[in-house]
Amino acid sequence: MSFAETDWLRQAQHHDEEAFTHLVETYQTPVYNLCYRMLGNAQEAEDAAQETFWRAYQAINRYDPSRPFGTWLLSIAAHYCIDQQRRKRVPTLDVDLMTDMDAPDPAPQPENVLGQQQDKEAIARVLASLNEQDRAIIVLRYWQEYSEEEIGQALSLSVSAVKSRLHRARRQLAQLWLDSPQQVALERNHHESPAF
Amino acid sequence: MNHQPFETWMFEMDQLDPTQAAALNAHLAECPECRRLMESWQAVEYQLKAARQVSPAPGFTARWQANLPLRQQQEQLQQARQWLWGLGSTALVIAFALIVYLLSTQSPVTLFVNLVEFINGAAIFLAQTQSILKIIFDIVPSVVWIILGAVLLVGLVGANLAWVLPQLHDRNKGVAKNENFA
Repeated sequence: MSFAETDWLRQAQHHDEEAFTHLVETYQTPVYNLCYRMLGNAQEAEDAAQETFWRAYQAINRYDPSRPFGTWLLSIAAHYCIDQQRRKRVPTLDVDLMTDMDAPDPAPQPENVLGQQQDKEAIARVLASLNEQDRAIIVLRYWQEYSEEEIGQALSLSVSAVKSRLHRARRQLAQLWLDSPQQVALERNHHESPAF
Repeated sequence: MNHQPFETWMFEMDQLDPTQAAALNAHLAECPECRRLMESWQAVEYQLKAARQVSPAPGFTARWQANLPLRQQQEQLQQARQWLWGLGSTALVIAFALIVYLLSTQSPVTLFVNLVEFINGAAIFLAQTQSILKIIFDIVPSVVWIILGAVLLVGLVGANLAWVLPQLHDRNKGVAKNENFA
């Protein structure tokens, strides 16, 4: 954490709105990205990210400065998104939106664009098939590059629970990818193609 | 064929020692099922590592700032509502306990008579107070009432300013701090 962030945090804990706004500016992308990957919808992700910062603002005096602020903030976001998903029960991930909003490849090869887009859609679809907590673990592991200890802190889980869930989620993702229509079609084409 | 511990190892490649990695490779060479799963996981992991962070639409911080006063207002309303609910519930509990106590110490008829007497006494007291106030209003000249009204108004404005000014000071304090910091 930079000196500026430490100072903003100290000021924010003394009800300084301007200092907290600097923190919002700094952490908006990781918080929004987590919400977006969890909820799969731009509007819901925006609302969830705004709600995360509001909850953090209200609870800022309970923040322990010995912990990384980012982990604390993403912990609030992850718990909120998990609750939202559980409340809805029916997964409503908007896969098209999720892939559309990914940053574009700086130098896309025309012949690869379609395949890459299909892969992105497929990965969004298999990610959406995971349960809420496993999805949060995958998002924190691969988008935030959190260690198992940090994921445990963020989701209030033991390291052994994180390891076990991470393994289960990876196994499930691999199996879902294997069973995805795109992969099945690819294999079918491979088997049906003439051998000359 | 027994796929363990290889099925576990293939998802923890970065934690394997050279012996385990060699054993996994040997198993993959002879087990097409595990090989397909491993290739599938590698494709998924590649996609996960290649995916970038998604940023919110421009103006996220401005939207946060714009919504803050509304959220604070809603929070205050909610707190007031909770406080009123708490107060109302406490009053109901006390009233219920009082009724139970009174009914256990005297008969309902006595209780009713006492209640009517109390209401009657209160009405007499209010009527007497009204008469006294009317006499005072008739005696005291209107100039005195104007002066008293002005003093009361100044007092209310003063109290309001004493409440508002420290809040404005606190709100501007952060801006000044950040200007100094920048």
